[in-house]
Amino acid sequence: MNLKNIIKRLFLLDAHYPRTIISVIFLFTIFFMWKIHELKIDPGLRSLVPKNHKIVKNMELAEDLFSSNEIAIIAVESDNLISNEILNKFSSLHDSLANIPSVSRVASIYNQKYIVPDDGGFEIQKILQKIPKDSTETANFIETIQASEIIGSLISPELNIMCFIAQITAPTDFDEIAFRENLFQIIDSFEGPEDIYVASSIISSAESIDSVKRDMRTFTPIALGLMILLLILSFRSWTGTFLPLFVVGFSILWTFGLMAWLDLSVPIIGGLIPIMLIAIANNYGIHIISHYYEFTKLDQNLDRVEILKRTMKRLGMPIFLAGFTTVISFLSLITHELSKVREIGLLVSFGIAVSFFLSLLFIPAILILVPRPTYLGKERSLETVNNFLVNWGKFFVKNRVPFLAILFSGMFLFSFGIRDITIDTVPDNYFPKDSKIRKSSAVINQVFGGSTQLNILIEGDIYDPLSLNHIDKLMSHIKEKNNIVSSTYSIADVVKKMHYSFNNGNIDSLKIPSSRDLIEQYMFLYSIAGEDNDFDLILNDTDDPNFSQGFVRIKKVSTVDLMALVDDTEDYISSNYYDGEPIKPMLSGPAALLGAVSHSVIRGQIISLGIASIVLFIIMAIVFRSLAGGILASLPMLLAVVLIFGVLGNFGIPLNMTTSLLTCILVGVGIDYSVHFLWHLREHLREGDNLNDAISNTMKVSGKGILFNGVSVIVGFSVLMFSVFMPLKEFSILIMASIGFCLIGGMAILPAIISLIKPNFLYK
Amino acid sequence: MKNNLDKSISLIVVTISGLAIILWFYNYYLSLDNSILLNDFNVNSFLTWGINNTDLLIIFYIFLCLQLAGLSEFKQRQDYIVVAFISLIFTPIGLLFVKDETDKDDT
Repeated sequence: MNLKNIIKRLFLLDAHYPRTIISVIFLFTIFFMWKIHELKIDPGLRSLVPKNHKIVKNMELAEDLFSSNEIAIIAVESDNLISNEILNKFSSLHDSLANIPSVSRVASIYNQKYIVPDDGGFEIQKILQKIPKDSTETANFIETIQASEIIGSLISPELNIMCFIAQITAPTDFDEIAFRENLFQIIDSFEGPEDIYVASSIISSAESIDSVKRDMRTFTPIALGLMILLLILSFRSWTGTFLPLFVVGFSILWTFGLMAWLDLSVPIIGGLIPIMLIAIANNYGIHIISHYYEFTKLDQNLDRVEILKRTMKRLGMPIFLAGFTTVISFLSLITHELSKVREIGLLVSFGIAVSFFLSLLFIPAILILVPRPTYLGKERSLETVNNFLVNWGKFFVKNRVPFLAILFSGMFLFSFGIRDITIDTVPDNYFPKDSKIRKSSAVINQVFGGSTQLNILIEGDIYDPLSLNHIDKLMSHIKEKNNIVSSTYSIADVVKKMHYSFNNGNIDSLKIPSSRDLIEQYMFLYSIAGEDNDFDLILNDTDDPNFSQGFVRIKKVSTVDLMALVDDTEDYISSNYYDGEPIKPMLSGPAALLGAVSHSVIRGQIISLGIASIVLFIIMAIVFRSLAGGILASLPMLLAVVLIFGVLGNFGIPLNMTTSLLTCILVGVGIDYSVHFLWHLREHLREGDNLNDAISNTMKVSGKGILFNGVSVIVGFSVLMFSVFMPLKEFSILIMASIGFCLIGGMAILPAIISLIKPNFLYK
Repeated sequence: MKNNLDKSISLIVVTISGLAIILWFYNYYLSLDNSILLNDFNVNSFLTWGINNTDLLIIFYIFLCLQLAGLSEFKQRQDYIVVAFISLIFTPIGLLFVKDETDKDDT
């Protein structure tokens, strides 16, 4: 059975059982919606990376061995910080933070200890033994601060900002939003007149989710309202306005319903699923309605069933091709390295397939049951739009040479911007520069060397002097080679400091002692003076550790620098410790994950875009049985891809998780417009029209569908430009540009090129 | 169109859908954990919800008006733009005063 027969049978089903089809679709919708309320949002970066990724495995191992894997830095600024009143006030903050269930430990001037050289040994003393009450005690305290090397890590050099470093245990199912609410509830009770700043990747994630939720709630109804208004003005009927939107609505519900049934969580990029479906999936319905109205106008005497039969006969194949190619373009994401992006690709493909089938079943079923708009019976109905479209087509046919010359030269110049594309997957940068979160990060980066940390998990005989020397060398290499590293901390630093103090502060002894026994004795001495949990973060066992954790604090986080840091560290590890001897260092922690995700975003994007373009070119070449057909169908889409990357580079919009998925929308929409235009143009030419008439007729019917769909999506998404959340704002600009470029591709470039080269495949 | 068979099958499916919705509400709202929700329901809580979710109420109102305008387009054979604006501005009650033009019926 060929495709035409399948489409014919589907239509017969529509014609005989419209009510049954509508009710079954509702029943299926109820089935998919059954568990939708159980869907969970998973905003963490880790959910994007495959579970078997080495960094994820290292993070899981680190979570098992040590008590924390993330940090939150809370900084307090006051001109009168070292005073009895302020120190008393914020000692309660230290205790409140330590009482948050997911906080394993808080480091601040209130509990920090330091190693003091003592006659023939060393002592472990608290920096703040008691809160100073008078000027003498205050002066002594300041002296202790200066001697203890905490300036720049726990207190600023001007002694006006101090920080609390909360070590957080964040397992895979960690609830960032609940943690943030808990944290801010505590902070709000302490804020004022002192300023309090908070920086943490966890807080940024939680803020991102809140911003997306808030903006989506504000802007989605406005965007949909604008789309509905435009469709009302375009089609002037309930069917033309709501049927395409209902199809999109059902496909969104079915897609999220499927996620709920499969127990999949919604990652942060999952918010793009409805956007993608709105941009792409209402296309099919709009084309059916547009053709249905146009055929009604052409022959007023035919009944609805006959008109629909003609519509489906004419549209079945191009709609199938448009749907199929779009599904293929999203399926190309299964080659992506990030598991969640692969998942999104499959889910959007499902959503598009649903909207394609519903367009063929649900829309005709309704159209058979309800009367057509009365205005179609009037002679001059839709004349203004038709005239506009015909004149539009004629303009680009008449001025094809100058238009194509200007377009291609402009594109050539514009494409130079591609070199300037930047990558940014850092959550802090999702917010405007004057936002509280960015200001807090800036203060903490400047004073305390950042709130992002790269963890180095080290396996080996840790108390062996050789191992400690290698740990020291590794950490020194990382600090010296990477400008973004503000400080490093490892067990090697502690042992060196103890050895130095034990030798009365002799600078020559600031090194790892050569005797294992001596190291063990130092640790024993420390354990007598210190507390049990002092080494919880850096040693898995104080008596005989075989795992240690080193920390690399990163100041100004930029994705490119972070990727460079991860690459350099991995290179150093693989060239020096390829056999795991004497130590086996492994990258772990949020910064390593961010670096790995950034690599995957770029690689995955390029590979899936390449695969989609090649596959679509081959499909189009087969469909039109011509290489020129394949090239012409893919050309508008490829030009739009070049233009959109040019926009990214020229306007300084960074490539991130959301913008990188944009090319999929672009490919999906671009290929739809080309298929509709070329298919109907060929039909008109086969019916005996000359090229100019065929272009005019194609513009009147297919052009109308393309125009109504494109303009409604552009106007709808324009409201997202008012979002304060940068990815949404940038995404709206890019999606408008993408659809705009696809519109120009389908409605200007194709008519101009075809009238210039008159390809043979259209006449066969 | 196999009208009678179509109507019968669709009636059965609609009944199953209705039962499914009732069952869903029963599971979701009347389960042990959520029984409090029903106990807490009163006019005051409804009003508070309305004040906190004015945006949702406006969206619901616009959606309802546009759907009823669609009904008027089909039943009274009116121009959709006109009835949509009548419905939005004068509330859907305004549609009751629109002249019936069923003579323009379409098959």
